[in-house]
Amino acid sequence: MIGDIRKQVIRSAESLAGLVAIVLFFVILSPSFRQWATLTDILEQSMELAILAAGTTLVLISGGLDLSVGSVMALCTCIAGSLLSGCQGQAVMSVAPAVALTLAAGLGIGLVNGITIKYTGVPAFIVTLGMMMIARGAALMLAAGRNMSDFSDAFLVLGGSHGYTVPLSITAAVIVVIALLLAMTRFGFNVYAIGGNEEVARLSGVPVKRYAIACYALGGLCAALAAIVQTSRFEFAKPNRGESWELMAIGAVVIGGTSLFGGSGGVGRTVIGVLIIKSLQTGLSHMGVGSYWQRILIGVVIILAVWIDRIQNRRRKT
Amino acid sequence: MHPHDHTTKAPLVEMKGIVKRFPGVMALDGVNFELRPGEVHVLLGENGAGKSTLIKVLSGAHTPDAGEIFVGGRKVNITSPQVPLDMGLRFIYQEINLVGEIDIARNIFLGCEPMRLRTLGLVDKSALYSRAGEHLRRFHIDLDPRDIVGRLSVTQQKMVEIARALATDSKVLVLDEPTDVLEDRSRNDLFEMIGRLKHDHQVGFIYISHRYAEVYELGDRVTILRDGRNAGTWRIDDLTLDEMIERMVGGRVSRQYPDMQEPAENEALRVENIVSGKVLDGVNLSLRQGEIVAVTGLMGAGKTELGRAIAGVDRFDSGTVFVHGRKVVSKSPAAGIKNSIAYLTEDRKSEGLILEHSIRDNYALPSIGRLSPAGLLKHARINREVQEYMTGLNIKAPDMFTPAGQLSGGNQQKAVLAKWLGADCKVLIFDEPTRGIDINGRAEVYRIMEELLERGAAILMLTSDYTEALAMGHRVVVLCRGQVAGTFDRGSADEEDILRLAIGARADRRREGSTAK
Repeated sequence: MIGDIRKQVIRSAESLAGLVAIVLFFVILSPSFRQWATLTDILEQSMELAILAAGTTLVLISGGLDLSVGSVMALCTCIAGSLLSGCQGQAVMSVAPAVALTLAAGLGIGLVNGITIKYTGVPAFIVTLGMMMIARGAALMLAAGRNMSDFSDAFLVLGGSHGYTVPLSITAAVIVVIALLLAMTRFGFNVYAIGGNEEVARLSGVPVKRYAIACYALGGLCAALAAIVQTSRFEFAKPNRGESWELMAIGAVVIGGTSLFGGSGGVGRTVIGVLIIKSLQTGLSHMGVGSYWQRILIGVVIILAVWIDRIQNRRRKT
Repeated sequence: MHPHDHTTKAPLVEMKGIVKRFPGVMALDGVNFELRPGEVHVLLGENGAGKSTLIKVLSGAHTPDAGEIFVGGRKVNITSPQVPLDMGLRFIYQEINLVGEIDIARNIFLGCEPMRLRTLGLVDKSALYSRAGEHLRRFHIDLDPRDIVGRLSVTQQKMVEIARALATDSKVLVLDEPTDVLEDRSRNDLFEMIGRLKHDHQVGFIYISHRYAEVYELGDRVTILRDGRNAGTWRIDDLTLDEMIERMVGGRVSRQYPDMQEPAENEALRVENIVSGKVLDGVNLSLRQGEIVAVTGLMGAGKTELGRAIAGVDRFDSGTVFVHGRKVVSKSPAAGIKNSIAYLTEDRKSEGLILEHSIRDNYALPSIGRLSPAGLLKHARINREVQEYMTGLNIKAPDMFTPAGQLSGGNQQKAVLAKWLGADCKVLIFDEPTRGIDINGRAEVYRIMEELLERGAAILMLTSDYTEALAMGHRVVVLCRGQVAGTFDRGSADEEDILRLAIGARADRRREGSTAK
């Protein structure tokens, strides 16, 4: 995992080659794709998914699964929206505390997920499936009869009203922090260990529950941050945000080459996975392929990516 | 039926020259076995002698590398577990294998229910219950076929299981330690039933047990296996308990063991009155610095449970642990390691190593606190330490990034040892440290243990290999049913002395065994 840089580079190079191939494909076939604006488009549209998927990467490496993050995004959108709507001083509170509260909500829901999974023994799939419905319901309740727009400039900056440097920096910061966390710290080391084999880790003295719960909490925090950036970028909040984003995030993670069963992977690869999905969507739009077909093709790519990964792994072993 | 009649009848089952190899181990090396109608044939041997492998060959779980099997005089090729079932062989293992939620009758006829209007798949309920009732009466089992199995006692369940096994006129019943789950008084019921079945129905029993008193109570003949070979077959009355034990352990070639230094005076570990459920019943022992205490006993005597309790892996009900004179409480393995107690599991593959992770990452696991001051990993330091241990312990692998799963058994065990050497604990609990390791690997493991002692560690070695216990232990503690049955100093005992204590019998126990209740 951490130490063997060489193997990591080979694996990332493979996903990167996939990304380059997809981009080249569209560059050759679609004249309108051949513009700098397309590149910035792809980056802008990748931000929220990248933040969300960075958290999902952590959870999956630790051997967990979180289906609730899409709904958590929706709930956090509605929390931020209801706290901040009305720019002429009518907002409930100023930007900083509202953002802090939203982030705290995401973190808190992640904590609840983690603690429930680790202390009741109910499988992660079930707990986070339940939380997915709970958070979505809460989002709808919060949004009922509310117009959640008219945000102050101070909030809109986060989504790129003064240029995309701010949200892109936030995205990059999340990715770098999680990458460093995984590669350089005891926290990261133990997260790989519990994902690799929880019992071995426990017998070796790793406090496995604490680390697993921390991963869910960070996953929730990432969902909240993604919601904040998106709400600011779209300039209004809606409770149907983030629908099936949890699955899109998992798709990006596995396209990148992180194992669905824990113990291996990295956040850098996930970024490549996100870019592959978003390049595909953008490129297909440029070629006039409708969104229904886009979904179908992304589904195919997810399966293909994991299949190729399996073949490569088998070849490497022999 | 008189016992002498056995020899005149054609055998129900005959196994000839059975050979079974596992990587690095010859599990069965030309074993012969024969079962006649109306006899209880006991299969005896130490742990690892090949008893269960032989049964697994008969049940179709293992395919033998050589040898022939005859059932009812006909040669059979057991290619799947279905084959022996079709031939009327039934296997009853230690664990109860019934569906707890449904009643006795449905369990007995599971999969072959009497049908009405067969094409519609309707079960003929009145036939089901009347036939099940008849069946139970036939074997003198006083139970209502409508009773839900999950509500029966363990003994009753065992009897239902046997009744089910015989529902289809089976002639051979293999019982693998059936009484281990039973309480003493209910064993009598089971024995009575076995006695009736063999006399009235000419059923043949293959009976595996560690309880030697039972062997005399129940058996007609006994076959003893030793290191995968026949030590012989005898009529039970022709063999005393002493002879039996001698044939199970005697005449083995000695292995290479290092010379041990005398331990220091100061006490490294003391355990007082550890009680855990029904498994540990007040265990006391102590361990000095530089000492190996070998803890041995039969399967189920409580060795592993004792090790896991001391190290904080499993909770226990009461008792106290002292490390270097200081009372410690370990509520988790993490706490155990903080208290300087390491537990090296017997199951390397699923509990000792993360097989997909590198030797390096496995090494760092228990010492990660030391290797990441302020939470930041010291990669260079980790790599340096791993390299030192790989050279020092002679771990054969392309490099430190090789996944642990790709190593051989011996090298895996050395990787586990490296991991715990790095953690630098004062008390190390080794659970079956040489199981599944070839001779050369063993010698290296012993050498590393000796080195550990020289560095000031103390080792509690849990082993079911008496020879190993005698050769490596400064002292040997024998456990029997969760209690210390006795302690031997180095050189004051042999395998027979250990086995005698382990089975909870004294030399003259043979006669007591059949009368004491």
